[in-house]
Amino acid sequence: MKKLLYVFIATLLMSFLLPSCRDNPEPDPCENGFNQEAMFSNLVNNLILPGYQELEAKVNTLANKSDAFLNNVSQTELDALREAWESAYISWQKVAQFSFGPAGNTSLRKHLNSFPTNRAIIEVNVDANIWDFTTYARFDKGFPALDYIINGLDSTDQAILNKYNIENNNYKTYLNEVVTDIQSRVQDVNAEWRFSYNQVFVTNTGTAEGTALSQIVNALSENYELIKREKLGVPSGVTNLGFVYPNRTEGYYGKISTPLLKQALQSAKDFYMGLDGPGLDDFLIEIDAEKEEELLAEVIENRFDFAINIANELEEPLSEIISENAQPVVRVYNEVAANMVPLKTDMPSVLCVAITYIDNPSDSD
Amino acid sequence: MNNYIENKILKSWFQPIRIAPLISFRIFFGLLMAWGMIRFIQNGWIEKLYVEPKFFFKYYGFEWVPVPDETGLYILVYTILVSALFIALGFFYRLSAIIFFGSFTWLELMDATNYLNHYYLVCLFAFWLIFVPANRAFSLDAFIFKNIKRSHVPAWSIYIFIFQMVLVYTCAGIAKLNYDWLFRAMPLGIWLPEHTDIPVLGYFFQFKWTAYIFSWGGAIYDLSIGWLLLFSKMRPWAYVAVVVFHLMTWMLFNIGLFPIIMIGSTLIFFSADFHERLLGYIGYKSSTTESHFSPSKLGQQILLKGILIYMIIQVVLPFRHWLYPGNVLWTEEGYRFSWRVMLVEKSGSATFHIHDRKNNRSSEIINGQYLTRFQEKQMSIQPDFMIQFAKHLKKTYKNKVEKPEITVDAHVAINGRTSRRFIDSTINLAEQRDNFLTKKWILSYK
Repeated sequence: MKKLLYVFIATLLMSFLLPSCRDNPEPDPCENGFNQEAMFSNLVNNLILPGYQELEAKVNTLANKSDAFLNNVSQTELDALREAWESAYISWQKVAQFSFGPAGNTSLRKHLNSFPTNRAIIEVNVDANIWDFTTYARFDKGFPALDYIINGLDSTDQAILNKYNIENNNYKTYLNEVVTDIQSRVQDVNAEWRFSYNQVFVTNTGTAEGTALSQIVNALSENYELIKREKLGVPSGVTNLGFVYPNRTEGYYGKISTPLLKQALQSAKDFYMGLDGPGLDDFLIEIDAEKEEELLAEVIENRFDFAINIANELEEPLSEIISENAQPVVRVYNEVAANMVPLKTDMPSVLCVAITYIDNPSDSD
Repeated sequence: MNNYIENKILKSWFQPIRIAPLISFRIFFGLLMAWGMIRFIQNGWIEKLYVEPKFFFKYYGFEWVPVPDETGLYILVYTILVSALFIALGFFYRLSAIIFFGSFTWLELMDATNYLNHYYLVCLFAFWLIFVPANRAFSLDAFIFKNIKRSHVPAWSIYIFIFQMVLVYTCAGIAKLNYDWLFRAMPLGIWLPEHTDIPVLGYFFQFKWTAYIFSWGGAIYDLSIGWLLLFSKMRPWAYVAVVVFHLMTWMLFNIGLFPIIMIGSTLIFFSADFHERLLGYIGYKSSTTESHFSPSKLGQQILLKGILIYMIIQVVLPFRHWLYPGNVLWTEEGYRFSWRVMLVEKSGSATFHIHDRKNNRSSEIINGQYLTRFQEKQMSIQPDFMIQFAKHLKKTYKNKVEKPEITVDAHVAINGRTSRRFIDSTINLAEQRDNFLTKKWILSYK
């Protein structure tokens, strides 16, 4: 038995002599005095609540304009409806990224903005006068479906008006129900945020899975990845050997993909910065997080700005740019992609939160 | 001289010792594995881990291991469950042990994504259960075939498990002796603050010094516990430490069966007296007549050589990373099968590109079209998985792209730091071969 003790001591000594990976002293990422609650309440009071409030107002207007149009199918009412649709769709871009809490539980994003919409299914729905908006899986609802039925039913406005006038009433019913579905979903989420969830969220501090910090960090990068892939990558052919799909752009029939993109990028930056109040950037500064000898907070902010600036150079709808030459859109894509590693890998790592939207289905060790 | 040593070892390893510790081990192992399989089914892991994925990562040399369809998978898992119960009951014990070992190992070999050290440990235990005479008492076999009943077994059949446990703990301890673990209290500095909601103890997790105490405590525990358990005077105290330590890890981490495996398996260090009393509660009576068996001299010599070879492999394998340049926590070369348990917090992102040089086209790959999120997470930190994925992409694209070049933009963040580039982004992964040589295209940690 004594021999075993010697073996044990020898092992112990030997192991301390092992070469270990030594870095220069570095700031400790997880220990900090950052006031999480102040950041959450800034985000809630200045971005999330006003964002949903604005969206609900815009969606209510949309519903009014839709009613007006259905009562009086005319070019004037159609134009007003389109304007309300565009305005609501832009407001949606501001809150799409808050995919946690009430919006997460109700899959608001998928119900409101699964695109490209499936026009074939919409036509089948309208023909049969049967549809099911409890599921988003058929890509036949939300803003993209509205896009098709108010902008894309035919090549001229007169032809579109004729569809609502001459044929059976199914298009009217469909339009009405798509709008009502959007409206009721937005109202539900907004009400929950206003009346109960905001307090729950603001006080949910810490770094564990499910805390507010983990939710916003995950939501920000998940949303940015969707901007990259859905708004830019797929239509411009980046993910398909350069074969382009102009008709897979967002708001394709209404030709508003460019303003939608610009708003989404700006809103992502606002979310990260917390506008002028405490945001994730301040958190990163507080803990002195560095990436390649630059402040991580600045790296991320600069990359947001690059993407926004390049996107701001775009004027035409993305579909038209892509049809001619995808390169300008690919450039925006590249700028957005450049921020993915800092947002999705660096920030969670230094803030010590797990990437929860990659779920772990098993034990770990 | 050689002969003298051999005889001495033979004598000590084949001396008859009482069977009780082995009986406890058999029953505990069988029941725990059966429960583990029920848990596996109930958590929906058959579907999540083996039905949903369209592609599976393999271990080197085991690329041929097939994944059955859903029905086949259920049959396999129920086979494991039933054979585990039969092991516990000692019913057609050896056959059951063979079936358990074969089917459990098959399940583990199907997708390397799901590698866990404790599943590997289960495979090793199951392997030895095939050879040890654990059904020679207090089993249905011994009840049916009375003539196989023995009160004593050759000592090696208990020593082998003790060896394994000491090795696991010691290697896990040595692995903790790295800069991050000891001097940055990482990754515990990340993990503990996630559990501040635990009553009483949770309060302390907000402080960094708690992570230091836990890190050093964990390292000292792992390094010493296997050895302390060997001394009868220390054993009761050491076992208290085992229970406290593993209950703590069970509370803090999502590590499934591991704590229970260790709490149960370490009982094998205890004396036969202890086990006879323990088993007494469920009706065990040690036989009054001594009986044991011993293989022939030749059999002993063969067995001894086999055991020695096994031990050498087991001792050397966890240290093979010394043969590779760089830090194993970064390169992952020599990471598996080395008892690196809960050692590092890593996350990565790996964006693959496929290039068609002839037509000057390229495409970014959306990993989610081929991999589950869990697979993607594992792949983004493990270079050998990246090769497998690249080869899979090459195959998928074979009608679209002739001679595709596949590159990856991979970044990995370790233990609360910002990420570094992980893989040389100019290298064509589809043409790399996975083997035991170092992968030169893994960039060194800067």
